[in-house]
Amino acid sequence: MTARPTRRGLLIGGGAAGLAGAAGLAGAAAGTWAAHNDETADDEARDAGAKPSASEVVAFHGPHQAGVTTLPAQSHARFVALDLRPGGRDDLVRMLRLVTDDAARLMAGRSPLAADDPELAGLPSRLTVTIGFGAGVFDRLGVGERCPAVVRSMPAFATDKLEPRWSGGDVLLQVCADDPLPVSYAVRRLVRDVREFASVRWSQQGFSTARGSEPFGTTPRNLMGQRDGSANPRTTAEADALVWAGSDAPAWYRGGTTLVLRRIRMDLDAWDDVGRFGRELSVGRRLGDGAPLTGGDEFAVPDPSAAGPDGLPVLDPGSHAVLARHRSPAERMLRRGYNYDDGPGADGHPEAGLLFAAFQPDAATAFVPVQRRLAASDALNTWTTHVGSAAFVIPPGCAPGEVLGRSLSEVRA
Amino acid sequence: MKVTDGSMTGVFGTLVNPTGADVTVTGAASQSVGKIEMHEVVGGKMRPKAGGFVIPAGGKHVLAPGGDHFMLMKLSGPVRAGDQIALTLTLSNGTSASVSAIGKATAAGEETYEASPSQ
Repeated sequence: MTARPTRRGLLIGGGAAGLAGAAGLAGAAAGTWAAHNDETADDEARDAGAKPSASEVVAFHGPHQAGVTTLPAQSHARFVALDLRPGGRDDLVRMLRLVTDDAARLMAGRSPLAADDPELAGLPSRLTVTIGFGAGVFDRLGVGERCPAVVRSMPAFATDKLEPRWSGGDVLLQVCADDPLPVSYAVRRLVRDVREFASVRWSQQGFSTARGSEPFGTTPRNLMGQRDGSANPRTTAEADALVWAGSDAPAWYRGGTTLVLRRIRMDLDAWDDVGRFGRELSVGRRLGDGAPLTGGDEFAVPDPSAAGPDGLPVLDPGSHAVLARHRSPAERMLRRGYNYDDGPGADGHPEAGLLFAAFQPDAATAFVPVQRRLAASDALNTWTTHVGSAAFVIPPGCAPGEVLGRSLSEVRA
Repeated sequence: MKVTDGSMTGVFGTLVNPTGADVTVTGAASQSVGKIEMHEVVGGKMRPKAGGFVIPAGGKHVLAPGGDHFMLMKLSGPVRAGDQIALTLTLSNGTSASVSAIGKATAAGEETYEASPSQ
């Protein structure tokens, strides 16, 4: 490449050279400039051909709710938990009718009824609105005994430091998109319509890597730098087979799933100061490519029995990869977490971590035993603290003209 | 459909005509509403729309606060947020159409309509 570096190329190259050492300045600048130029060409090709990604929509109606096996997971999310105000079953049904109608329109890129914001609604960027039911919804509908025990009352774990401000809730709104603007608009309109029926208990915003920043199917990184979710199903078909309640489930729950959401605070200052060897030993994986320390690629199964040249196990039995991995099909979960970063506090320390979001048909056989193992001996517990916890049934999807949660609310008319 | 504790309210929305010929909505009825009129607002005054709402072929007709709307009168009860009322529209081509109206507490553009009851 003989082209003269542009001002922009030099600026970007300067950063790269700083990492590589001053000696590499000229080469790094030219190389970065070339990469930048290729990227611009790609952008232009995209603009000329395909529709902008903002116009992509996810179907609202169907046997399952969207936003669970929607892959790749969108780049932005907000989770809002609501507490129902005093009222009757009929009030809840009216609220669900509004939420259902709003969600269907918003996901299609249209303003909700009685709103007139086509500019804000028109770029949904794969917007999904997913509704979850806590025990309060089951009770209000008069079917409290149907609420899974694990949703009504999550067992306590030894390492929990749960705060009420991040925990619990009667109703969950999970709103995801590849762009934070449609997430903001959808949450605002949904909450405006439901606040007559419910108050906001907590609200948590999460982010992942930008869509397209790495090749399709690449596991995103969390704020500790790990690839997070390497054991996940890799196709929508596999994810569907894993998360949805099947024919062995009660009729009202078939096609639904359960979300466990944990707010996991990370002590990133302390993590930064651990050497690379110690970090990889704790995770049980190489930070670079996410491969288990026992070899293979990111998706290889970690082998706890593998020994190194010294005869000692390669993997620490307390490493996260060993403990977090499912030990039976019933322990499998679809991890769909998002990073959170509230910015540095007044003391300059980061206030950041992971909104761990996992879907499974039965949290009592999946999340609970895995978390019990992790709470007992996960090496990462030194740097992670669970400060929030909530669980919700994600009822099955609905057809046009139906209201979400119909399978539950019509059980007893 | 605007929520109300009173006996009447307005229904707003967009009527879409996918057919190749103009269609006129000539009337509307509902089991839970005593009377439904089609209104227009002209010179700030609301009055029945003579001839009904014309939806052009392949086009749409917008019903909005301060403009054309269905006026639901003699309601059998209050309209609360999330309440649903099924309307049957009578069309000029001899067919009818079903519309489901949902109660909403707010409506974009309603401020002038609401702030000036004399309209």
